[in-house]
Amino acid sequence: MSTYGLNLLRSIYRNKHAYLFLLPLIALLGVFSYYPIVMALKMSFYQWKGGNEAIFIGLDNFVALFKDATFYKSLTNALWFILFDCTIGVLMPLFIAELLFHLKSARLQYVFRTLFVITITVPSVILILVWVFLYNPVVGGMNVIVELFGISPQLWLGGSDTALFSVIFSGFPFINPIFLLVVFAALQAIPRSLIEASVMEGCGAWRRILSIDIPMIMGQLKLIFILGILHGMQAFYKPLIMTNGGPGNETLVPGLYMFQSGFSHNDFGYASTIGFVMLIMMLALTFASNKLIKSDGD
Amino acid sequence: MSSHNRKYVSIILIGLLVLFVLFSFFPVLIMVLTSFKSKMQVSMGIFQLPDAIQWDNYKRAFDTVVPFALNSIIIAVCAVAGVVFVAALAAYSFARFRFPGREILYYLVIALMMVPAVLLLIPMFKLVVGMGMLNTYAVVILPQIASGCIIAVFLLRSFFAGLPEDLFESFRIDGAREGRILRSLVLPLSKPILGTIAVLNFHSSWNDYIWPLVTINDKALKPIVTGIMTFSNEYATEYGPMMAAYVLASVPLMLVIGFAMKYFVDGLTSGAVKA
Repeated sequence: MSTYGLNLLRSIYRNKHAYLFLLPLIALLGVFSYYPIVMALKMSFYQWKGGNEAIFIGLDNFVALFKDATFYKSLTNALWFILFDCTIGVLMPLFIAELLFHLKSARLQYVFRTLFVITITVPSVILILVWVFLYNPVVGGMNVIVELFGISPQLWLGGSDTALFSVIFSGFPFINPIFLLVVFAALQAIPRSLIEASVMEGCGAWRRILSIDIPMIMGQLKLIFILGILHGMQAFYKPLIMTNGGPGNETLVPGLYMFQSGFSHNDFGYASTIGFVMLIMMLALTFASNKLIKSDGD
Repeated sequence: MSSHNRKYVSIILIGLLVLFVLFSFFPVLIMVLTSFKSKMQVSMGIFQLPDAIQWDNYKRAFDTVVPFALNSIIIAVCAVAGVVFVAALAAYSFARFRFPGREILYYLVIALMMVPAVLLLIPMFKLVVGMGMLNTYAVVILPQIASGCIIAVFLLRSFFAGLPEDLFESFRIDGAREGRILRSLVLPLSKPILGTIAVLNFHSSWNDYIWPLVTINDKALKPIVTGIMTFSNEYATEYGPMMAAYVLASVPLMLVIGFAMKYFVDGLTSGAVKA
């Protein structure tokens, strides 16, 4: 054996503890991450229904998917979710973080920041169920609230014109506490000298936000934007709990379509194909926004 | 800017913040308010204050919620312990050893951050069916440990790598083995970051919905967020007890995050989540 090979073996033996310590992680990730990934990609090319043996069918699932009107409907709906996550979902945490940042009292900053974070202690499923109650056309409060604005009573989740908007609006007021913390921390990390200099130059609050704050925290805003795309594309527990995609397919999203194909129609091959296409789309969108939005971190 | 003006500005700032805090709490307030109402009072509209507080709603909800909540606590505690144990061992290995294959293995772990959970749902389900793991605690706990470890390894590795080498030398001179160094030197020094990891994983375990929904249909083993669904079906239109159950289901998470708020906020602001 060459000396290189011998040295390698010696080095591996000397570090036996290192491998031993890694063993539980490698075993877990192998079984519950890598194996499913490989299977997900592989099964996209198989017909795999119910308890039957999987049969290789090449690209048939993909061909069927690209002709599937339901899939296009789900993509259009997902586009609305993404649009909301990437605009309001970025602007609201930024807006609240700026309000906090301009507060003079550190104590008040702490109190308000804590209040916004506390909302995270209610499990998201429970929050969704409360919104389902609020949207109840009879006992829920939404019809009472919109009546104040002169809007006639609506069916909300049950109405084909209102269902999608109702599901999206249940994120109101769209302040993700984690995003708020990230943006606020980024604002606090801006060098004080920069802000003091801008005050000396007679720079107003608006001017400062646009020319100093936003460029300085572009990295974090970009992160939230990309997370918004990923979340908007794959999250489906809201439609699943609130409407199960209905009425009709008005609130169906790709993730839910995949879930239903797998667990309601037992068509695991087709479900895997939907997952595969979603993965490609997420990678493409992430790559594109990474290229388009410039930040100092690059 | 005059001091008069400045005062106006802070009043507007505080006013806006109060308004948005109220918006954020709106569903929570309605949940608590409705949980005290009788069926009659619920039908009178959500903004109606309850004239007689219905503690009975809570009595009825309590018996249903507690078994589910215990399941959730068992699952979350095991998942948190598992993540801390597995990730600490692995991160220590990545941070303090120079072994062949280190870089590749590390990137294979970190690359998993890019993989969307939704992709894994179907094949993982078929896998656990094949392993006969449906309707066990383990079927929920093990995948939670696996997914929790990815970020935990990332956070812990950089923390461990930053510990001064002198400390390790003094332990090694005393003849301590690697296991003991990890236990009596590294872990005690890493309490804050371990606290952050624990509370983040407790939160995500408590909120895990889709996976327990498809893998546990034995009512005795269901965690709270899927168990609560059977409750809403049983009580159909009895919104009082239903909302009382929702409130009770939120209490354990509130307590944990309430006590560990510092870890939670520190973890999310101190560069744990960076662009």
